[in-house]
Amino acid sequence: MNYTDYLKAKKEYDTQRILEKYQATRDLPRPKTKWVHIVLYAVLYSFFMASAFLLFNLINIPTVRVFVDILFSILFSEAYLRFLCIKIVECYQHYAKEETRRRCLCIPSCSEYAILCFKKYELIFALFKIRKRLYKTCKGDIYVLDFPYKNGNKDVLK
Amino acid sequence: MSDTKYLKLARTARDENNGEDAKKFYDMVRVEDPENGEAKFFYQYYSLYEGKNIEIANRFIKLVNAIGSSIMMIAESSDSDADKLATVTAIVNAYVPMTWSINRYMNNLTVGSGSDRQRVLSASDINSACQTGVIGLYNLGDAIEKHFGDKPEAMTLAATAWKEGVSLQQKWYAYKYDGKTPEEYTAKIQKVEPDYVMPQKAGCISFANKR
Repeated sequence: MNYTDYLKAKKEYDTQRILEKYQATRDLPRPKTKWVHIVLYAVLYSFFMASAFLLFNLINIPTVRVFVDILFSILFSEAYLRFLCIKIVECYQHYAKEETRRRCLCIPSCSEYAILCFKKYELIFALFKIRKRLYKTCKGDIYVLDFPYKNGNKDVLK
Repeated sequence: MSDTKYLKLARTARDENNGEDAKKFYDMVRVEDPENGEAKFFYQYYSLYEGKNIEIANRFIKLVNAIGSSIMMIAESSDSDADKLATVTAIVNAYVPMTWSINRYMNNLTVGSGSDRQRVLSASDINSACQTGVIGLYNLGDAIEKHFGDKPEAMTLAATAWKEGVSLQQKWYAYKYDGKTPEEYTAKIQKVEPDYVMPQKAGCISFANKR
């Protein structure tokens, strides 16, 4: 180790202090989504699915039924589940204590990141990205600017 | 004693971030005046950056061990109060960013890439540096409190060291710190800065209460 290496690490430390200050004072969004909304959306989802499958069962052409079932499941369920996931995260943001939310080391916070992921990516891919964020990125002692899409960091720095 | 030629040169080199010259001149000050606390601390400080990476943890322990005696020597020197305070400020400014930076440096020393990426230093070395550094931060604050407790400016410096210690301990909560707890030091900081709030344990999924 030489002194120049240490100075590089110290420069990083100074950046970390700026991010830490930002993290400690940033505004935390509190959406109006409550648990009642989640229950309603879940019930609605079950109702749609049940009525749709009932309708398809009335059609007596098996090939068409299977094809429509698969298409319907992929398109509707995936989109609706992503919407439901966003609402669940918003519900967490509504109820979670401030001290719990201030633990997050990342910018944007993990819940905001999750919402961005659900809006931008398919459900499975979004879930993988969120898992990585929660268990790998938001861990330890390093504050990071981490967006789910390219150029996100640049947008913040502007 | 602050006016010796070598001490001036050492301080100039320190301001210019010239570690090599600073170490050389502080060594000369040590020979000239073995009871100079500033020289004792900064000689150890600059010695850290020489030698092999594997020795960092041991040299860091030497530096931390020098903190208490350096502050005591500064307090007992014949310098003016302003000079003493300036020296303590320099020590605090030099030492406070060190623990995190050294840890970062040690963690970044890797070989290979992708899944083959491995750290050069062992986990025990890195953990030892973390613990030593945090204990050093607490000791630095305690030493300042012990010798300069009646001066508000010095107590602000002590609080700076304690705050960094608490902040790091809340991030590296899995290690043991000689029975020193963040709550204990938060109480001390709040005597100096009543508005201070202890930071939360870091990480969204930290399992903090289970360890």
